[in-house]
This record gives sequence, structure tokens and C-alpha cells, in this order.
Amino acid sequence: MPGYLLRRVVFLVLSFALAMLVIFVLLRALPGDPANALLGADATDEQIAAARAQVGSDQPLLAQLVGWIGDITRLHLGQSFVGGYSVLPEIVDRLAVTLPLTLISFLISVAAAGLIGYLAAVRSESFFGVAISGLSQIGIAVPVFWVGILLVWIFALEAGWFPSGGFPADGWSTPGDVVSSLVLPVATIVIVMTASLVRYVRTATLDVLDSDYMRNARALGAGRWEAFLRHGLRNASVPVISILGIELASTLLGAVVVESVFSLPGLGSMLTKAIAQHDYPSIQGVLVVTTFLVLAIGFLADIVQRIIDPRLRSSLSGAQS
Amino acid sequence: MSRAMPLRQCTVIAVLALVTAFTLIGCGGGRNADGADAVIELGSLYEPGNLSNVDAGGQGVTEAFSGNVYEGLLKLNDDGSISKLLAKDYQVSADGLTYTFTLRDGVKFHSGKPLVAADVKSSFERVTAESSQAARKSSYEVVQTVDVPDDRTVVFHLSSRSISFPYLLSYVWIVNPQLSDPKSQADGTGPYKFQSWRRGSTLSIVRNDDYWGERPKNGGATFHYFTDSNAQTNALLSKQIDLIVNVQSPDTLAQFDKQAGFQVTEGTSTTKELLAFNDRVKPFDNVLVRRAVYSAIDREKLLKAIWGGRGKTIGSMVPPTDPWFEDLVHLNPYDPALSKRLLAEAGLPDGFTFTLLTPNYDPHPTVAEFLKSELAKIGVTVNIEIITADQWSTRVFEEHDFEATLQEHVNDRDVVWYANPDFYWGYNNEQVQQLVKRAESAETADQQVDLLKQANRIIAGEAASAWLYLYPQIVIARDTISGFPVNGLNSQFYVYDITKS
Repeated sequence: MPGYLLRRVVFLVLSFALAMLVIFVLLRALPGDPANALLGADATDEQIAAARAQVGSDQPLLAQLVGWIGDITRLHLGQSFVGGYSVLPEIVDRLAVTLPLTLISFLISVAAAGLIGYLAAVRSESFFGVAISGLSQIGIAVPVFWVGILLVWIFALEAGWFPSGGFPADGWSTPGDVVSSLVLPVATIVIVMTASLVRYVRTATLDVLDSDYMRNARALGAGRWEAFLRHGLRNASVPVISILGIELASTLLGAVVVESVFSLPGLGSMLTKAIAQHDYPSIQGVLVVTTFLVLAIGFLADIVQRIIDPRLRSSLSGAQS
Repeated sequence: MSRAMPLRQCTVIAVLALVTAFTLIGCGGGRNADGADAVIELGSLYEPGNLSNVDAGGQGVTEAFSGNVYEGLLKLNDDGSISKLLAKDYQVSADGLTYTFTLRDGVKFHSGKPLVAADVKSSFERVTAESSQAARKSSYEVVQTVDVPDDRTVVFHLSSRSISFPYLLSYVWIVNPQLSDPKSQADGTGPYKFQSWRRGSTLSIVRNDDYWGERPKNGGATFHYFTDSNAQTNALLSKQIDLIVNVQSPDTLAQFDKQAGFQVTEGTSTTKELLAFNDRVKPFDNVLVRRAVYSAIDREKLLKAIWGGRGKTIGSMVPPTDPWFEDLVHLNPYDPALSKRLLAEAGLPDGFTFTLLTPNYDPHPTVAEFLKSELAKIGVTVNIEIITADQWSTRVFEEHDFEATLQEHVNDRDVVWYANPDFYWGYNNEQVQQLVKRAESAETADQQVDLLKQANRIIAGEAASAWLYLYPQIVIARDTISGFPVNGLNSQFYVYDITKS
């Protein structure tokens, strides 16, 4: 196990470095000049040149790359060209919205999908099982912003129970307001994510329920739920955990659509705005943080899988654990 | 039996969670006070890039701060007139080259520092500095030196007469020179202090209780920024905000026309939708061709299709709030028969083809489609090429690599840009350039108005561009709100007279 861990960490660092290089090169290969975001309608040639000098788009690429790598190692994510603010503190502020939104949605979805998926598998022949299967198809097919708009219409505009959007100006110091603003966005993500996860859980559970060892456990007198918990759950979870890692990672930035519908100042909206303005430090900063988080989530998912499934441990690491 | 336990435990936990959640929701912050201390909640689509108007903060910073947090020596009013603000009085020398301003007494910045003449000089130099991206920066080059003979007097020495100088000064914010970071902090003299800015969400300003002038009628204002206009509309419908500053989407209006409890106010904007020709290249270097294209477009129909009867058709670059406005729609009337005759006269009886560079955001793609079908009727084929705002800046604005394009221009008093042959549309008319120069050196405002009207008639008569329509300036507010500005000059939005009952 330690040998595997070490190899995995090295791989993580290398992937991260490669991703940073790709981000840097791709951004600068895109057409458009970051200086444009700084110009007004009547900008003169001098103002255009001054803007270019300010954003450094007149410096050689290698110099820019070296400078940036040096900055990242010291956790200096630089300052926004347009806003002038420090990128890292701004990302932290945005994470204060995006992380709770993503994590709470994720946890609720996993719990709900786990339960519903299991029931759908166990009752797969009945009307209930078929209905779940059908509903989950619909849940995957509908666009997430449509779900959001529907929830806003029903619960914010018609019923008036929750705000239609926005995040409290005082942030987490008014937790009641924060919870109230996050209910509908979380519900939106939960509906879509649960629908997707239910299918995986259902399939994995069906596979396990069909297996010999489950039948043997039941034959020996164990209840269905007990047998599943003791024998089936670990086997069913292995494929599902990979999916969970992917879903969590994609929700971090995928939440941008939900953030737009509900006007939440999250990481996704920071990124899209920075892209429109060619604000390289902000774009790079957000991509560095999210790439790291995605790689870390993948890494954790791998470790969890190995912990759960002894077969994975011994077959790949070569040593007995 | 062992199966039932987990279920009961789960139920208990779920119920506890729900109860906690609802209690927290119930304990959420209460709504604001009414009356004189009320905080006005405004909705806007234009979030500032930063808090400085010389560092490309954008129109959002003008909207939130001009007149509210920062003031100038002079102020541009909602009706287009100029009045004294931080300047108690000013004198102009007979030759028009020296402006002497006397500052008001007793004015302090929000940090407590008293306003002195040196602060005015440093604020002016901020605008003209090399790194400044202030609007109209080149216009300030007419100032040779700024003197500060004493704490209450500022003297501007100009190299030539400039009748617009007082107007130009209304854009110069008087900023505390000791402010270390104008992009994220603010220190002005205005009726409100900057409180906080949560990027991507809200910007708050609160009443300055030490303000030198008339006390604002409310306790403060919070700007809520949206990227999606539907989200903004929903916020107003659910009463999370009190008004929408500038409605950009006509669909929104339909929802509110039927709703009780809201008022829809239409004022005059300074935003013009243009079909801009590249006057340097064929065939648009020919006046006859430009006039032909202009007269083939039914602007009333276009305006009705997009704004349903709101807004105004215009025949020139001058909006109604500019002092030299006159209605010149008749110079290029909608007359497809005239268009065909003009094209024939220009030697293009079978029409021609051109590429229209169209920005990808509303309303330009819709306008482009309309133009395509209108111009097809006179034999002109339009190839629509959709581009991003960024590509527009590079290809059209900087490189002048286009035949024709669509664009909205939001500034007031911008007809003088037609006197600059290097501006992106490349209109080059000696007579206009002379008239504009003389207008700037005019001795009285009336002379300026007269000369600019003459220039405008030429520009419009030659269809330097095709000015399609003037956007309406629409504010939607709850019935409990009054006192908001109705015209939107240059995006400023004074909040100090707004009351919430």
C-alpha cells in the first residue's frame, strides 16, 4: 500500500504540472487580447498600448510562463487585470458559496440515490421499480437550468417560501439567510444528480443481488437488507465510487449554470466572467484550484476504492497487504 | 426487527434536520427599515469591473458611484444640463483660456480629510495620467497646466478655447489622493459612503451623515448584480429588489404590464443602435450608396419588432438630451424606391454584396436578420458574420478590418467623434472637422449649439452611418418607490432622491 500511495502522489503532482502547462499555452493561443477588456469606446492608440503594457501581453511567452510557475509555488495567484483584486482571496470567497452548494447537494444526492437506487433494484419487477427507472430517465434528460427555473416559479414566485436568487450580502454571518438562499439551488442540483446516480446504484445493486454469494447468504437465513449490508454493499460500491468522484468534480464548475439562474457569486461565475474579459490571472487561478481539486477527488476516490476492495490492493501493487 | 431500527433512526435524523433548517430560515435577517432610513435594493446587469473610473471599471462603476459616492466640480443632470457641485463658483477669462474655480467650504472626504484644491489637481491628473483608461481622456489634452494658488482655488490653463470644458469636468471624480487602492476601495465626497462589495453579487453604499449638501432621502442603496435578465426579473417579481435600473430586454416589459404593484417608466436614453459603415472602403465610400442602404430600412418596423413601440427612431448620432438635438429622420426617409434610384446613380443598379460583422449579444443578431431581409428588397445581399465583443474590439475598432458592422453607442455628446477621421468608421469630411473645431472654440454655448447642428446636418445628410433607433430608457419599480432618475445619461444613476414608502 505505501508503495502504491507514493506512486499515486507522484502521478498526481505530474498530472497537475502537465495540466498547468496546457492551461497556460491554450489560454495564450486563443485569439483576442486581454487588453481589450480595459478599453473604452473612444480609446486612443496610446491608451491601447498602455493597456497592453499593463497586462503584459507584450512580453515574451517564456518569461510569462516562468513568472507564473514561480508564483504558483509560492501560492501567489496574482492579481486580476481588470479588477485589480488578489485572485486567491477572491477564489476563497467564491468557494465559500460553491463548496457548500456542491458538497451539500452531493451528500443529499448520494443518500437519496443510494436509497432510491437500492429500492429500484430490489423492486425492479414491480411498478415502483419501473417508475423509478422512468423518472430517472426524465431527470437526466431535462436541462438543469430548466429545473432551476421551474423551482423558482413554484417555490419563489408563486408560493414565496424562498428567495428567487441571490446570496446574502453579509455572507455566512447570517446563516438563516444563507440556508434560505441555498435551498432551491441545492434542490435543483439534487434532482438532476440523484437521477443520474440512481441509475448507477440500481445497476450495481442488481448485479450484486444476482450473485451467488447473496443467494447463499439468504439461503442461510439472512434477511435481504442484512445480507446486502454485510456482503453486497462493498461490492456494489466499487463501481459507484468512481462515478461519485466524477460527479462531484464536475459539479464544482458545472454549478455555474445553477449559479447563473440563482445569481449566486460562485466559482463558476467568476470563471465565465474572467474568460469573457480575457483576465488571465483569474482564469489561471480558478483553473489551478479546480484542477487541483479534481485531481485530489480522483485520488481520494482511488484510495477509497482500494480500501473497500481487497482485490484491487493486491493485484496492482504486487505485494500482499 | 434489526431492519426497523435504522429506518426509525433515519426518520428522526431527517425530521431534526428539517426542523433545524426551518428554524434557521425563520431567524434570517429582517427586512430593512422604511421611510427615511430605508435601503433601496436595485437590480442591474452591469457589475463594475473595479471601483475606479480611470481603470476600465466600466459603466457599472459610473452607475453605482457617480454622484452617489464620488462628485466632481460640476455635475451632469438627468436632463443634460450642467450645474455646480463641489465648485461654489467659477470664472472664465475673456479669451476662454483660463478657468478659475472656487471650491465650496466645509467639504470632507468620507475618511474625514477636508477637501482642498490640491485634491482637485491630483484627481485631474489621475484622469490624464499615462496609465489612465478614462473615457474622453484625449479631450483633456486641451489643459496645459493646473495651478493651486490657495486651498480654495483651482486654475486650469487651456491651450485653446474649449466650450465643452465644464461638461468634461463633470466626469472627473474628486478622489482622496491618499486612497491607496481606488480599484477596491473608495473615498469621495458624495452623499453616500462605499460600504462593501461582494463580487458577483452585491455592492452596498450607505448614507454619509456628514455630507455637505442636502441629506439623501434614504439610508443607503444596495446594487444587486445579475448575469441573467430573467433572474433579475424574478427578483423584482418576488420583491427581493425594489427596482431595475435599466431594462434591456423587451420581453421583461410584457410581464410587468400585466402586474399590479409595479410601475414602468420610460425616459430618454443616449444609447443608439447603429449600422456603421466603413466609410473608407468600397462601396461605402460613396455617399449615394450609404444613403441608399439607409433609406431601404424601415426603422419604425424594426423598433416595433424589437421594442414594441417604445424607444424612438433617430436620423443622426445626436440623442434628444444633447443641446444640439434636432430631428433629422427626414434626411434619410424610409423609401425603397429612392434607394433603388440612388443605387442606380451610384453605378450599382443590380445591387451588391457585403459582410455585416454582428456582435453576438442582443439585439444585434435580430437587427442583422431584419437588415438582411430589408436590403434584399433593393438587391443588396448581406452576409451576416457573428463575432464576439472581443473580436469586435480587435477587428473593427483597432484594425478597421470590416465593411459594415452593428454596434450600440451609449455615450452622450458623441457626434464629435465623426470629426476624427481615424475613428473606426473612417468618416472624413473636412467641413465637418472645421465646424467641430470651431464649435469647441466657440465663445458661447449658443454658438456651439449652432455650429454642431450644422455639422450634424452634414453628417446625417451624408449618412456617415445608419442610425437605426434610440433605445428606450426603462426603469421598472415597485409602486412604493419614487424619486428615481428617468433618463440614463451615460449610465449614471443618482439614488439620493429615491424614497421607499
